[in-house]
Amino acid sequence: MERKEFVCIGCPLGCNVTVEAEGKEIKSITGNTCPRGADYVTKELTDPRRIVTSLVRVKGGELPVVSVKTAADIPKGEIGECVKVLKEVELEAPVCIGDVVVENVCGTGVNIIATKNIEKV
Amino acid sequence: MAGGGSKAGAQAGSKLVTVMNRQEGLYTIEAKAVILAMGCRERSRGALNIPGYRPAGIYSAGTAQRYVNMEGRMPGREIVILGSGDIGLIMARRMTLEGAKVKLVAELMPYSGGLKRNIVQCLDDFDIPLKLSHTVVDIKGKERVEAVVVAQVDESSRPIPGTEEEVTCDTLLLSCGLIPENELSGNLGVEMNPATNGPKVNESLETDRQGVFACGNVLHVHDLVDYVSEESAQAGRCAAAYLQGRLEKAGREIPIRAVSGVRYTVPASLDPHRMGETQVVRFRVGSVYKDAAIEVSFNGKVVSSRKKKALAPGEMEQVILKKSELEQFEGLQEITFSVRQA
Repeated sequence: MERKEFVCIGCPLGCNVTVEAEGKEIKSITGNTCPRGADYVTKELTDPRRIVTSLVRVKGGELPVVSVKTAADIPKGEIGECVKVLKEVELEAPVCIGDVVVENVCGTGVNIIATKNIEKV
Repeated sequence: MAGGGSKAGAQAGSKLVTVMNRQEGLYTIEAKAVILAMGCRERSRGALNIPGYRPAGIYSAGTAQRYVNMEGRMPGREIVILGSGDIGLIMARRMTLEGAKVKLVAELMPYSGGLKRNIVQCLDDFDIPLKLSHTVVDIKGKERVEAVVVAQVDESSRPIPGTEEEVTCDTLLLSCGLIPENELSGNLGVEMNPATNGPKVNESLETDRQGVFACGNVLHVHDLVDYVSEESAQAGRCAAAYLQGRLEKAGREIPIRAVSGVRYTVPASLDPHRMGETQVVRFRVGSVYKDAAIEVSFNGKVVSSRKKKALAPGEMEQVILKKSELEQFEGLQEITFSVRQA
């Protein structure tokens, strides 16, 4: 049996929730004050996901970088690889909000999109 | 609009705004309405009284954010962050993702000033330690930051001798609070709220000078930009209504008093006839509460009590007042907001 501690982000209370699990099978959830806490830790234990925000270099633009994000959440374990991929990308200005910067990043099925306009200079 | 790249100052009564920009130089505009929207600035090292030399490598978190996010430059490789406000927390994640090592975040208070989800997703996700009741007591290095000395503090925020710990780093980021930029408001002589360091406004976001409105972080520092945008749109609508003579002269203003645990409210007063069908009242509490309730009272009589599992100074709260309820209450003199500890 494995015990894991989480801090729920459902509200400012921030319950310390303890989960006992065997592999991915949850045996017990304690410490949460409401059902949202149980939902949160279940997701964190079985499939934790995050929206990742980062930067990509731009050539010939008014600024040398453009802010980007994953269009949807990706598995937490892929954050490091995802950022590494973005370090190698260089765009040509102009860049528009919503432009797809990288398709299907790290095989997650999620695109990286620009979140700022960069004019060409 | 007083803000952006321009400098403005409005004289009492006439609303004469002195403006400066690159194209026209220095000139004046006679305005009928003015919206104060100067935002806020970061508390600097000078305001924190940290001893030590003045080496390179000390940045406010917002400056570092600009370098990284807009100019594509890294302020350093090994970072210590003082202050756990949201900008500090977000910069801890940003610097980590961009390849730096964030060694720790030190927070003077026994609780974080940031949102819970930022602590989990910006620090815990990357195993960055958060040291509560800790501060930076010395900065080492003459040309470049070489280390900082972090120490635990007692209940009165004084460093406890013997708890000092030297942490090697090349960069110190300061995220120690935001100060509304109210030099212009002060010159104008509008009534200020000492709890927010911003102007006191009524339900139309109008200051005690008719036709002078305020919105955004100059009014009170917000957690989320969404609320700033909402407030700005409201200030714009009210200023336009004022110009068109649709904003009736403020009649009977009912004061909203913030007591026992509630630090302030925005607005600080409201006119039940002039308000919309509903009025959002935003406020912050002064410390951390668990299992408490937010109470709204009319003339000292509790009219609503909302249970709150937790309240923290870092999380702005809001209550929506209904026009119908205010009008139904006869002889309304005063509204109070308070925290009741169960």
